[in-house]
Amino acid sequence: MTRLEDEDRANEPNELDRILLFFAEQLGKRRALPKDAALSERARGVVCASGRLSPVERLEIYREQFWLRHTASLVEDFPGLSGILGQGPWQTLIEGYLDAYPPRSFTLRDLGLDLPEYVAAQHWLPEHALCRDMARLELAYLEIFDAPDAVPLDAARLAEIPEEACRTRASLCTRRCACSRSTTQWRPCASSSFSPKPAGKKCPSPPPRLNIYCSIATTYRCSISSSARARTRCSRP
Amino acid sequence: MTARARLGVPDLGVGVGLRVPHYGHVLREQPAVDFFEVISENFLVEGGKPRYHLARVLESYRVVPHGVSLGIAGPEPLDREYLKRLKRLLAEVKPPWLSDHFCWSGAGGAHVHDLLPIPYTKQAIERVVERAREVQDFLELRFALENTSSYLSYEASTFSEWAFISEIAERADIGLLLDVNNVYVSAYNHGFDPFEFIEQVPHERVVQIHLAGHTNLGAYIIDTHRGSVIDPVWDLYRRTIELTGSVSTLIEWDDEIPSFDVLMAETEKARAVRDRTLSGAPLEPVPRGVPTQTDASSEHEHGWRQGGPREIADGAAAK
Repeated sequence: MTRLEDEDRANEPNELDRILLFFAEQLGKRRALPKDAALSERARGVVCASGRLSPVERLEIYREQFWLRHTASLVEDFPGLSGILGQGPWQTLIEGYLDAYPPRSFTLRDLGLDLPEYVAAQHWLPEHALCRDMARLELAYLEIFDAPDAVPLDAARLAEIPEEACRTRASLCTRRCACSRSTTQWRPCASSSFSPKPAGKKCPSPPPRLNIYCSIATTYRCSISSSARARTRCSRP
Repeated sequence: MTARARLGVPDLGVGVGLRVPHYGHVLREQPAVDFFEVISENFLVEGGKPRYHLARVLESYRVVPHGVSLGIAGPEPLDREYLKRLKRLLAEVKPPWLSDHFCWSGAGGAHVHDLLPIPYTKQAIERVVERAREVQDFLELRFALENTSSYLSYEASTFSEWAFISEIAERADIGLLLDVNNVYVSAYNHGFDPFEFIEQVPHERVVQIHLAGHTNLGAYIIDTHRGSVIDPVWDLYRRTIELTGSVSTLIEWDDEIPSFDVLMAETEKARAVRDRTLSGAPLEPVPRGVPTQTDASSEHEHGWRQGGPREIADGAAAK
């Protein structure tokens, strides 16, 4: 055996990992596992039948759970965005997102970190500009929820810092979002309109108007101020 | 509460899994709970609401962290960064032990946030023993692993689940978190006698017991942590206490979370079963064997999802 063959063998997954990798491969499939002969035969070699369920049906329990868990988690984190879109477009968006950005962090908290960037590139979305703003704003809420406490910066200085630099140059507990519409005021209506039914209640779109939102975590509260109401002043709750 | 120690850890009594909807009630009313268990991953953050609430709870209660993301049997090495963050949390919480699960949670860099079943093979035993020792040494704290509920079993398995976890616990010198509901769920799904499982594990290594509800879908049971503990699980719990003696017991409820009073009623029931069993009072015989559908009292429609570390999001939209 050559040295290269030795190395190839060392890099091959062992029997245990071969089983786990087969399992993991099935979890990531978007649609219900087919009960065709090819998969059934592969599954039979790995998974026992139970008497009530075939090996493929037993794998399907885990596959379905993977999608339910991650979709539900993103609905919790992005209620406004999911509400704008409603069931069909939201499902399409999330399936594409999880394909493009499979969960890699040990915590579901990080599941939506790349969603604003992904949404920005999805020009097919209805109300695309509003979706983009809402995704950024909702990620800001998430990030400040468990950020370390700190004294917020002076509002005037905060307004001068570019949004993308806010996290590092302002403070870890502050996020700045410039939105083209009154996104926060509209969010409660959008959130309540999300429904598993195909035709959810629609909210009227908010009027275009530049708003700068500052999300601030202080002590244990998250607060938000908007330029429309407070003239770019972010204050402690 | 007795102070009897096993593997150097005390019996804390009967506790409850602390969940977001109950934070306000717990801090305001200070209910008479012996201890709380928290999901470790919800508190591996730098600050904000989760850490604030944890600090307040620690002022009045013992807290034990319980992890869901270690994935000890997975194809990839342990996540050192995760362990470092966990160790920092432990320095603040100062628990008597820490637990996670006999499972794996991802492959190829992906994390599926599930407690996936392990093939019960020699190779898996070697891997989990080595890593469990590593975790316990690194964290400098008694480490325990919990038996999971599972919905499939592997052709490659050459051990029963109870033989598998027993050998790992003995060789790695770790504790067992015996989830009695999970034993019942897996017994139903795989067709074994749950009493055999309970009777065959090393009882002196059981440092904690979990009790919970589940969802019976007929063809299989899902471990939803929804609803009350069913009678056959109480019977298993009683048998467990007969064999282990007094062990910290915890009620988990993660789906359709009820008022705290309902949880307290479950803890009182657990306390009553525990006290009566430990008193040596004569106990009624209970039926043994593979669980059947008629045993189960918790029937629900589809729409479940397993509880996990996501609870911190419940307050993420706070304004």
